[in-house]
Parts: sequence; C-alpha cells; structure tokens
Amino acid sequence: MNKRILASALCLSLFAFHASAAEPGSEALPFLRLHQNPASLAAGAATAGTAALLPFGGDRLCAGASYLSYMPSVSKTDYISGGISSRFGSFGDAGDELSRFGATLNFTRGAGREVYGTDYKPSDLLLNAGFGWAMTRQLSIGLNLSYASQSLTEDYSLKAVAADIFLAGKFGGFSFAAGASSLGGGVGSEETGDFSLPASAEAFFAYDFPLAGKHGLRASLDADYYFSGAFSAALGAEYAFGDIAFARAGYRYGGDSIIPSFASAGLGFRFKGFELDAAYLFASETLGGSFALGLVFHL
Amino acid sequence: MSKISIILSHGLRLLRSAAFATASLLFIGSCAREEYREMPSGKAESGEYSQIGRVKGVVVAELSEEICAILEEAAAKESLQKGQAAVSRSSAGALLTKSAAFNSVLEDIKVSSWSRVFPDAGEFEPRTRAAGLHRWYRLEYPDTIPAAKAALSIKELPGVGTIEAPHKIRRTSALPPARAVTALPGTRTAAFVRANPLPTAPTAALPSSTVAAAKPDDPYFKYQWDLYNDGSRNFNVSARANGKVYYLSSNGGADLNLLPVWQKYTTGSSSVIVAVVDEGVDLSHPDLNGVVIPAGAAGSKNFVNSRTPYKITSGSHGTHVAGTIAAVRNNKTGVAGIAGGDWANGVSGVKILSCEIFDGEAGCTDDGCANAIKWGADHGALISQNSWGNYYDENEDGEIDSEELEAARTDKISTYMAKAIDYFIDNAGCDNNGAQLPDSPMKGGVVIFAAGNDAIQYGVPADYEKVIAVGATGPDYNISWYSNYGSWVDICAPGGDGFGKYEDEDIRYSIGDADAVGNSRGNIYNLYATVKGDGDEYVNYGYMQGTSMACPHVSGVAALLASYYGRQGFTAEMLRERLIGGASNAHIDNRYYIGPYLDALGAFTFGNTPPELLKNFSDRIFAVVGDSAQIDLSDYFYDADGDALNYEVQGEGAVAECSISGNTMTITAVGKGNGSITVTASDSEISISSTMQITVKKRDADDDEPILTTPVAFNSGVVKSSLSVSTLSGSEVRVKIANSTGKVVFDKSGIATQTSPLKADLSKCAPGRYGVSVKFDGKTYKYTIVKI
Repeated sequence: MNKRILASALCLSLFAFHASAAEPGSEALPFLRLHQNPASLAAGAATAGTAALLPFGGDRLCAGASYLSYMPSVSKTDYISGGISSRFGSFGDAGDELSRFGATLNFTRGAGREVYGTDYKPSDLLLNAGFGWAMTRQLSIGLNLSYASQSLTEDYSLKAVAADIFLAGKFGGFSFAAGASSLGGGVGSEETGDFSLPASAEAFFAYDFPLAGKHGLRASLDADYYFSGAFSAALGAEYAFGDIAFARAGYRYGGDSIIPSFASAGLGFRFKGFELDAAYLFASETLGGSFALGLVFHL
Repeated sequence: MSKISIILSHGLRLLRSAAFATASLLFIGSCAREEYREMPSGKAESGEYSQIGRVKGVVVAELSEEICAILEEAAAKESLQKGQAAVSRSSAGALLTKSAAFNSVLEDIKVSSWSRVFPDAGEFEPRTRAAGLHRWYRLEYPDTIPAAKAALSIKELPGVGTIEAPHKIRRTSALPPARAVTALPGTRTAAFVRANPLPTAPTAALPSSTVAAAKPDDPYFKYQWDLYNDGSRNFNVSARANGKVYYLSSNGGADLNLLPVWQKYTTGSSSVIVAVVDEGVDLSHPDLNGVVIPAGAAGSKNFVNSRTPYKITSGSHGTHVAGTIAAVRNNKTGVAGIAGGDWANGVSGVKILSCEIFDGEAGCTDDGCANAIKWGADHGALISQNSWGNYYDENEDGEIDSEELEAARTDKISTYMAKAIDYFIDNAGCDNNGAQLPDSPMKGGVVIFAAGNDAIQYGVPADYEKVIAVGATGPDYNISWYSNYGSWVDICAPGGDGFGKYEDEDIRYSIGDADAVGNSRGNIYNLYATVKGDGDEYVNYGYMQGTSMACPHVSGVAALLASYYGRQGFTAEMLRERLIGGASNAHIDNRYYIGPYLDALGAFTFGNTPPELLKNFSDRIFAVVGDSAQIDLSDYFYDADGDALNYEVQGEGAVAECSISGNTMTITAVGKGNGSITVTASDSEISISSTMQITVKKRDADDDEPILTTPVAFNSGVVKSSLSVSTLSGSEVRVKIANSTGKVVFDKSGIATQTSPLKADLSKCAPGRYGVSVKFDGKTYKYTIVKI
C-alpha cells in the first residue's frame, strides 16, 4: 500500500515538473516520440515503449540494433539505435511467463544533412533507461528516464530530460498500459521563449487472438492525447507463423501532433534466436519512403 | 380462264419483267430522295452503272430517319436480350422490327441479316448522325435473287434514299502475271529510251555534306532508289515482250527529292497518324517496332471479320505500304520510312493505324472499306491511305475486256463511300463541333487513293474529286506499264516499273540477294520496303510494284508536311495545296496523264517561305533596375516572302518587361536577378523563336547584394524567427517546411524572387532541425535548416 502511494506521488510530481505545453505540433525535441524498433514501426508504431510491460513475458534477455532512414523525401535523417532488455526475479508459482522486474537500456543517434550555407551536420542523441515492477500478477508500474540532446550548430544544442510513467497490466491475452510520456522541462529560445517536450497522456491496448496451430495474431491500439492539444492514434496488427515469420501492418493517425499520419508494413524472420525485421512507411506527405531494418538476439 | 384475263395476266407479267429490267439499269434512279451529284470534268458523277464488279446478294440502302429509329431500337433490344429469350426473326433469320414495311422487305427478298454500314461511333455518334451516316444499312439476301428485285422491294419503303449494290474491291499492287508483260503502247519503245537517257533526280547534285547529314544508316536504304537516287544506279536491263525489246539505259533515275527535307525540316512526328486502309500491317515487324497502333477499341481494327475485330491478320501488301510511310528510320535496321523519324536521335516517326480490309483471299466490299475510312477519322488519323480500288476483271482472266472496260468507264463511286470520304476530310483532327482538337496538328483530313493498275483511263474511287489520286512511275519519271491515267489523276510517284517475263509470282527475296535477284527479275525497278514474314522462312523485306506503292509515297510526304507545319490553324487544304502545288513537271511525259511528279522538297518550299532566324539573341546585362535597351528584331528574324511578321514575347515579369512597336523591341529591367524572355516571330503559317537570357545586377545604385546564381537561396540556414526563400523562377513556387519528425509546419505557394522573396514565419515553431523543399518548374530542391 505504501508503495502504491509512493508511486502515485511520483507520478504527480512528474506531471508538475512538466513544462507548460506549446502549440499542437510545435513541441521541442520531437524525436523523443520516434519509434526506432522496426517491428513496432511496421505495426503503425502502435505500441507503448514503457518498461512497465517488461515483467509480463517476452524474452529473459534480448539485445538488438536497428537502422532507420527517416523522411528521405524532405530532409533525410539516419538513425542508429541499440538496446538491451531483460526481465528477472521470479513471481512465486507464476511460471516462466511472469517476472517480478524488467529493465531496459537504449541509445539512439541520428544524423541529418548539412545545414544550408554551412557544412555542419546536425545530430540527435537519445539515451533511455527503464525499470518495471510487477506489483501483482496482473498489474505493474514502470518508469523510463530519457536524456535527449539535439545539436543544431557548432555552438548551439538543445538538451532535456524526460520521463515516462505507466501503469500496465495483462489479463489472459489482453494487455494494456496507461500513463504519461515525455514528461519533463522544456527548452528555451532567446527570441521566441520556451517550448515544451512532446508530452502526452497515452493509452495502449493489445490482444493476442487464440489461434490454432502455429498461427498467431496480435492487434494493438495506441492513443496519445498531447498536452499541447493534439491527438494521435495508431492501429497495428502482427501475424506470426510458428514464431518464425512475422507480417505486420498498421496505420497511425497523426492529426496535429508532432508525428504526421502514415501507413506502414513490414516483415520479420526469426531463426535460432536471431530476428531480422524490416519496416516501410508510406501514404505520408513527408514520411513516405522511410524504412527501418533491425537485428535482435533473443535469449 | 377467259381470253381477256389471259391477256391481262400476260400483260402484267410483261410489265413486271420490264420493271425488273428498268430497275437493273436504273438502280438508283428516280426513287432516290438524295441523289449524289459531283463536280467538274475528269471527276465522277453518280448515276447508271454496270453490274460488273458488284457484289451479289448484298444491297446498301439509305433509309429514312423514322425507319432507322425503329431499326436501332430493334438492334438495341436484341443486344440486351443476347443469350436470353429468343428474339423474333424472319423466315431467313433476319431480326424483325416494329416496322411492318421493313419486315415485309425482309420476307420479300429473304434477308438473312441487316446492319448499319457505319456502326454506332460512341463519342463521335453526334457527328456521325449529323453527316447522315447512321441512315446507311446493309442487307444480305440470297444471291439467287436478282439485284433488281431487291432494289424494287426496298424502294417501297417510305422515305428511302439511295439504293446501291456494293463494289468488289482489290489491292492495287501489280503482281506480275504469268505471261509476258505488255507496256502501255508508245510509252517505251527501244528507240524512245535510246533517245531519252535517264534523267537524274535533283538529289543527285546534292553536296556530300547534305547527303551525309540526311542519309540514314538503315542497311537496305541503298535499295530505296525512290527515296534517294544519287544517279549512280545502273538500270541497264533489257526485256523482251511481245516481240519487242524494252530497256532502260545509262545511270540516273528519279527519286522524291527527300533528303533535303530530312535534313532541313523534319523526319516525321509521332503526333501524326496515318490510317492504312489495306491488309493488316505486321505489328511484330522488327522495322515497324512501336509504329503501328495496337488493335483495340481505340486503335487498329479488322473490318473483314466482325467476330474478331481486334485481331489483325497481317499481309505483305499492307505491311509494304505501311513501311514505305513509316518504317523506323536511322535504326540500323531494314529500310527507312519516308516519315519514319530519326531513331538514333530519339525522334519518333509518324504512327500507323491499321484498318484491315483484306485477309488473304477474303476482304470487305466497299461498304466495309467506307466504314474503315471513317474509323480513321474517329481514331486520330489525319491521312487516309488507300491502295485499293473497284474491281472490273469479272472473269478474272487478268485482262480488261471490252465489257469490263465499259463497266469501268461507267462506274461511279458509291454514295456511302463518298460520304465516308467527306466525313474523313471534314472531321479528321476535330471534335464533335468541327473545331480542331487542341493536340491535333491539322484541322481536317486528306484521303489518298491509288489510281489503279489496269492501264486504263478510269479508276474508282480514286477519281472522286475530293481525294488525291496517285499514278505510278518508274525510275525514268515515265508512267509505269500498269498505271491507270487520265485528267482525274492528281499526282504521280514512284510505283515501280519492273517489266520482264516472270516465271512465278513470288515477290520476296532473301535479305542480301536483292540486287542480284532484282537485276535478273526486273525487281530493281520496283519498290523495296517491309513485308510480312511468310512463316517458313522469315523474310522481312521485299520488292513490289503498283499504284499501291506509289500511293504511300504521297501519304508519306503528306505525313511529313503535317509533322512540320502542323499546329492550330493548319488545315488539310493547306497540306493539299503544298503537296500538289509543290510537285514537279520537269521530266514528266504526260502522253498518258498522271499529273506532276511528287517532289518532297517542292512541297516544303511551295508558296509561303517560313520566317528565318538570322541569329540568336545574345545574353543581355542591365546594371540596375530601370535601365532599358532597344533591339531591332529585323536583325534577328527574316521572311524571304516579305511577309509582315507578328511578334510575341513570353517570360516577362520577373526581371524584365518588353514592348514592341513595328520591328523595335524595348526591354526594361524591372527586377534584380536572372531571367529570360522568348520572342516568337510568326508569318501566316510558321513561327520561329529565340530566347534571351537577362541579368539585372542591382536593385538600385546602393544595392551591394550579389545576384542570385543558384536556383534557390535562403536568407540563412540558421534562423531565429523566419526564413526568406528566393528563387530564379519568375513563376509561382511551392515552399514546404517540415520538422525533424515530418510534421509540416509551413506550406505555401507564391512568387519567390530575389526582389520579392517568399517569407516563412517560424516564430511559433520550436528550436530544432527542419527540412525545406522548394518546388518550381517541375523540379524539387531539398535543404536542411535549423532554428535556434
């Protein structure tokens, strides 16, 4: 009980820490909300990247790296990402599918094109650490902390710390997570004032359909209400065959939020613990042609 | 039976016989509501004609609007009910209608089928009906029933107009008969040719530089004396016929005077379509690759077999005609078509619409041919090429006897055929309202016919005044042994004159043997072009002779004229005037009149001389906005005819404005930067242009900012609140700015010059990285900026 009160207090304090919202779609450091994982990008990025879901199954340990070619039709940015995640600690007689804790470490580095009139290439850096704790067999809480930095000129860069806090749960084939993402202080500009981070209240739902044989089907829905007033939602699906081959598709409705609408599709193949995933974005004015490739090792 | 009744019954039978006899002589006659009348001397009128050359068991009639409406309703109903309940039919199988009178005809002459000669034309149906073509119907009945009886029966229909039996037709290629050839009397005796050495074509005197520039690299171009004859070709061959020796001596020979046209004017344009109404053209021929419009509802069509209208059966005659006009030129393959483009330099030649009216021994009658001609007008063709004509050799002995000659003399063009030709001439290249289509090079069409190969003074439909009738010559400018002639022939062109004794009728020879075999068989005088492969041994090219071969030369030059002069306001009359007016009478011996000789260069230089660009504009630099300069346009544009030239300027506004008074153009610098203006000078037919690059260095005397030299420029790549976009374009540009995750934060179109840049307000955007795309003149420029 005390732990739960403590958790609630932590959430409230983080909300208070969050800077006042900018206009819809004009938040700073928008790459904080960019999914790098090809598997989730392919499904419309209909996922909540919260450590709260880590204790509920998945790999004991996995490590991966990915490459994302983003927005090639306007101003291309190349992103390299890597990370490791693990779940550990037994939950009594709950079997192998549930752990007491989960943890993750990730990094992302993005490089853009030379700025007009200079030979300087701006870059993005994101470091993320997350921790999840299963309070009960069905409910967990998780916290992710991110450090984001965007270098714009040789002398000028933006830096911020952001937090995600979520409550997650799993009931049979149904998973959910609800919480807030990218809470943190904003960044300032001498001429035009402060701009907040792209924080939002987020809800995530997923359901694993009970199919016979080697077939698997998961549908997921993710919705964000940004504190700037924008709303976005994504719907994704993943079909799995024998845990060997995966086909994914999804659609994200961006509205006025910092990531515009797009459709996506992708494939994945797993063999002897290694999984290769690819995703392709289309049906977007600016994101069409973006693609991601990733390699993950599952233990 | 009483004597009086017997007399009466005999009398009635006599009267009926007389009526039949009269109807057989006056087939169209007094019942016609709309007789077809045609014009001046040398040209045909409709009226009486012989049964020779007419099809039995078929009649074509012009029905009234009322009856047509009933027939259309019946046909539409049958179409809807196809495959369902049986429709009502006559005893002979024809579809019954709501018209008792028409049904009575169906039963009376046992009609087995009836149909519109000119079927529903879809989007072109309004003009089809305006021309009255919807009223022509074809009725088929047993050929044991006399034609006169059929005519009498149809004549009973209220409001019926002309009634005719269709003509048989034949190709006008002069396949050598299996016997000695007889030349036209007096045209070419041994004494005549000894006294008259071969004249040479004008191109024999061309400088080598012109020849080198225009001569294509097609390997068999050397056999196409008709297109280029440098005077070195030796036609020295003798032949014996009817006890006389005929031969052509010395080097020399005619050609079309085509090389200068290829060099200075055009080799053809894919915007021009020629309808080849003939055998099907070989769509898979290697030297017609991409030339023939594929078969389909919007393209080539088979008019012989109504069950498979979009399956073209190709033939050598049609392929030879099409290749003469449009075989791909300068592609290191085969022969060169007159309007075959310039493959090596990326220029496509004219296109061919294959309208198949022959399939081996089978073929259309002239009503089907009329429909094929109309199809060309409704499917983009500007020129209708027809190497066929009415057929008089009724007993098929290879000769025209006196009775057949009389049939030829009295023959007239079918009324529906004339109407189809009129339709093509009036409507080709036009919309339903008769206005020239925006992308059509010409208003109206030209119909070209071969004169025929019976060596007689008659030829139908070639003698119809509105078509261009083409006679044939050999390489000596003289009439070919077979060519029809007469004052109705408008022009002549190379058709081949290969006389000699032929053992067989095989006209195709292996590649590489053309010269040797040609010499021995007389084919060297004939025309070499594409032919259909014969299945066992694929032979792509061969010699043919006939007015069939002369005709596509005229079509080819017509196609070149349309390619070069084609524009809004260019008409078929203008093309015809150039074609006939530019033809040459030098060397023509018109004892048997076949008109002047086709001269391609003459057609292009006839009448109006196009304006000439003396020199291009130089770049002009103005020091500061407000400066001006005057230019005498007569230093740049010249018209040899002395025509007053009309000038137009495009591209004004961004950096300069222009005014023209007489030949003087005043340019005033109005904005800083780089730009261009294009001045177009036009006479009544042709336009010619030159472009001037303009630079204005300063906005005013204190302006030190350098001129924009790149397509796009920003005030800075590192901005704080706004971005200014300048471009070299004087027209509207589109500027789009997106943040680093792809959200578009600015999207606007407008003018963006150095003097008036387009400003993007980014004050409400967070600091960060942004992508900028600037789109104008069909190109998109992408950049990265940052906001701090």
